[in-house]
Amino acid sequence: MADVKDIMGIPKTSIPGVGVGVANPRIRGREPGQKKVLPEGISREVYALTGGLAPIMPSVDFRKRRPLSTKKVEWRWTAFKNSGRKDGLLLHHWARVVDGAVPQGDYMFAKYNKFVDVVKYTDEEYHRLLEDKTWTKEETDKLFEMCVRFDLRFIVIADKFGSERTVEELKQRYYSVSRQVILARASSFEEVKDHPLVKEPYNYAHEVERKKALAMVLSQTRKQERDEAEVLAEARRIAEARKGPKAEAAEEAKQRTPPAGVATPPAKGGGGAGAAVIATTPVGGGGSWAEQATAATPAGSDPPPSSVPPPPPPPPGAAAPAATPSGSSRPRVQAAPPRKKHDKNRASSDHGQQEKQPPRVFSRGSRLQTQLQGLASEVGARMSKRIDAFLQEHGVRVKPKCPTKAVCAEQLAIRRDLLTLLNLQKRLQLKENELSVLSVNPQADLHQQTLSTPKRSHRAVVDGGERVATRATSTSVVTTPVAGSSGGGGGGSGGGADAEPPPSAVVTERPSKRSDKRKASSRSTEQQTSPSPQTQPQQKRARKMRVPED
Amino acid sequence: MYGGDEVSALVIDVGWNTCKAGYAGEDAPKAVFPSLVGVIEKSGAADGSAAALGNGDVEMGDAEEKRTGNKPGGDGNDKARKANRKLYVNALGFRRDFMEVVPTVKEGLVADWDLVEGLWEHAFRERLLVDPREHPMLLAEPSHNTNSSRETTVELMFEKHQVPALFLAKNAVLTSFASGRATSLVVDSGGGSTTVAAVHDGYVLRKAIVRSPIGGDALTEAMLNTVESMNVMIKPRYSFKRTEVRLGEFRVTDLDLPNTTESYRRYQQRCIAADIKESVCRVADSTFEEKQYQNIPTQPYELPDGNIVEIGADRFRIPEIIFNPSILKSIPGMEKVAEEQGRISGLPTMVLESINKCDADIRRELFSGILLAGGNAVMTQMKERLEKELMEEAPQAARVKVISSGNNIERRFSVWIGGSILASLGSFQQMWMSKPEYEENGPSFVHRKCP
Repeated sequence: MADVKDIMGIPKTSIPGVGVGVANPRIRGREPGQKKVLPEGISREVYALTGGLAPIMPSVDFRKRRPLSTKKVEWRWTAFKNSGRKDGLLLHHWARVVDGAVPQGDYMFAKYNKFVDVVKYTDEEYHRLLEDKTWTKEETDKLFEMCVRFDLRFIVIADKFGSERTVEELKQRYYSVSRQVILARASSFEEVKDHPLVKEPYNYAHEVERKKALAMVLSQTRKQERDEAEVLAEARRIAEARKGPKAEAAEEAKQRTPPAGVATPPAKGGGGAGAAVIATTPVGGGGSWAEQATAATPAGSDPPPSSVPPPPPPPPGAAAPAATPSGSSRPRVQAAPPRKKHDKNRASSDHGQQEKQPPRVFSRGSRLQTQLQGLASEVGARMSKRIDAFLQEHGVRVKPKCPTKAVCAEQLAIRRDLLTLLNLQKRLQLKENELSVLSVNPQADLHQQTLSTPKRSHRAVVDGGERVATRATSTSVVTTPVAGSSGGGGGGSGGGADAEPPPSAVVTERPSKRSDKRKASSRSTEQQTSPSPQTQPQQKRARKMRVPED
Repeated sequence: MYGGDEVSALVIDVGWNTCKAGYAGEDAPKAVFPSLVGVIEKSGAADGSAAALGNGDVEMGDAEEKRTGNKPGGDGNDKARKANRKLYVNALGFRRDFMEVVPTVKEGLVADWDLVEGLWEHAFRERLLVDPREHPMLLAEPSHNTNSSRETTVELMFEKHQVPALFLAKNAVLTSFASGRATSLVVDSGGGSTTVAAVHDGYVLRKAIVRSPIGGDALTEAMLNTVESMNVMIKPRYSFKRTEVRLGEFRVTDLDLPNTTESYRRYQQRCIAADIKESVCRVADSTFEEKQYQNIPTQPYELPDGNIVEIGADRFRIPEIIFNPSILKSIPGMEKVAEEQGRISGLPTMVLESINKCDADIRRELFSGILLAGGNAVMTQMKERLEKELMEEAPQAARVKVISSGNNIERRFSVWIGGSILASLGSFQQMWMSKPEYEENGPSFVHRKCP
């Protein structure tokens, strides 16, 4: 602006009286009198265009003069030949002509003209090798000609082929013919071994299947998918509803048998799923046979951790709704392998279960473990160790080799009986101690029970005989349903109850009640065994009491 | 352009509504004019050269008289008859007595070769001012073009216009190239009809072409009928005179012009209705329901004669025809159309049908590359609505994506633009069908050269 004003003769400042030529000291921040520093070679105006600053990078070395090009360059509308064309058509384009020399050489774009190497067979080769029932010679020739034309784009070829041949048929014919011709022409097999056509023959059946599956997946409309999703959600809801009352048992079971990454609740959907279960049991059964075979190795030692591969994942896709009930049964089975248990009798247990209560699939072996664990936690670590020691002493296997119904029942029964035995031994000990104390000091306060309810304390004061009597009476009421309860250890414990004296029956109630709880059955027994909780704390307290005494 | 090499080719696309012509390498056609031709059948004069018309023919700016020349291979009778016709290309703005308006293209295919000739001549001589003998020609043809139609085109071009080289490209392929894809599903919704075609690797899959007669013109008809049913007369522009009586006040006097043909009158009315359609119509966001749109505020439109017509729910009802053709029954005057055409599918159904006819391997790719093109696709919200409808109906495994250029010009002329791109590519120059090849092999050679 200052320059413009200069040129125009307008005073730089608007202050009248200040003449032209008075350099405004504020401009450019320099002292008046200082000469303007200009690089040589460029004029002042040009320099000012850059803002008066030197450029960061010199773009052009303006000091040197570049010699002007001596060649004459012009653009001419010339005809050109294209080697991609066979007919010699002359098209024109603008070409850069230097000194009258038209650019030589082939058309620049001709090099992009690529072809696919399609095998060409002679007639004689055709008659010798390539005759086929479903393909005539004309059709085969036409196919090959189209392959050349369309660069092996089979989808386009199928679209334009006259007769209704599928893409797979065309591919099959093409690849088989090419392969045969290559093989026939090669003098030895070695040299064409690595040729892609020879190495990987076209698999017609597989391709057809694959395409069908893909079409099925892609042609499912949103509506169908929504329906499917609805059905799945419905099934899940039914499962949840059914699972509701036994939620606690299922929860406990779940905690003890960490599912192998499968979170679906182990329930089947409805009676209609029964057929699906039966259908899958052979598969599951097959898996379990494998497990059995691997576990035939010496028992008593833990089988190696990863001996059993989990059953194959449920088939995907459209089979999903049908397979969902069976799929949900698998998680339970999958829970088994990590536990390294065998489920030979799962099928039979299924059927047995189905008749009586809502069908639940489980593996007996793992369930046994659950029950044992439950028992162990109930009685305490020390007690369970003692039981185990006792068993081992007498040569009984701690972990059963074949957890069948009877075997499991016997295991539980024996453990309970042992527990009873040990408890009785303890009580005997206690009584003897009491006796010894009383013999010394008849007035001693034996049971310092400050925490119990009056009822209980009343009962506590009464000597052991009465207690036994009351329990015995309640026992008789309870034992029958216990004996009558279905399934697992109930039968065994009922038998055990009969064999042992009444007090033990009381004890057997407790574990049986608990094991019943864990079973998916006998809700009724829970109510009847309600009197027994009272005995529990009693004995527990008694045990606690004994500690300071001992 | 790195892949480009200009050989000064011309690109011509004859559509139902407009004909587009221009130079290859440019981004829009230079000449865009209506494909509907005015025809006056004259009886009497054999050569039909200087027959005077009743009211003195004034040569308007774009008006042009065309005389049909010798059609190669045409039989004697045809020649005589045709010599009596006068064609008026791009001259429908001016009313002439006895002039009929004849469409060049019917159902996508050429109906009358003379008219097409007329269009080409007009494009070369009047608009582009080129000599066809010097320029290779790229013609856009409908995706479902018949073999005989192609051969006729080739013959005409080589014999009559002596072009040095020629190529016939399918509309769907050109649209696909215009958006830079070799594989896509092209939804071309133009004036006369809608075509859904699958393009795979640069080739149209003929078995997967699905067509529907619902196009821009059907919508215009519907609009015309709707306005008439509101008891508003759409007066064609030629039929009245509007004079300013006082400042701001106008008086309309009707002119009586008995020799105007019905087709011309109807054509003029449709022009106005088309303008109404383009100004006020938009596609509804979801399926159109009467109740929802009952209380929608109306939009006013001023007709040429000064009357104002208010369009309310019809703004949405009319474009709904594309998606739900059964709505034709509820539009007054259109019931006959609905019956005639039989079963017409809506656009989303057509898309799904086309894709399902294709090989399973390419379906996913097609779903994720659905191109929307054509004059009708310019309508507001068309792309969003189509995408929404398709996402509901398509399988979950496939990702649905509808693509269309943001620019209105590009959407309308996408076929032409694709041709422009193709003809100026360096690697395309070997694909022309040249005159020597034609002379050697005959017109049926086009099927080999231009697949």
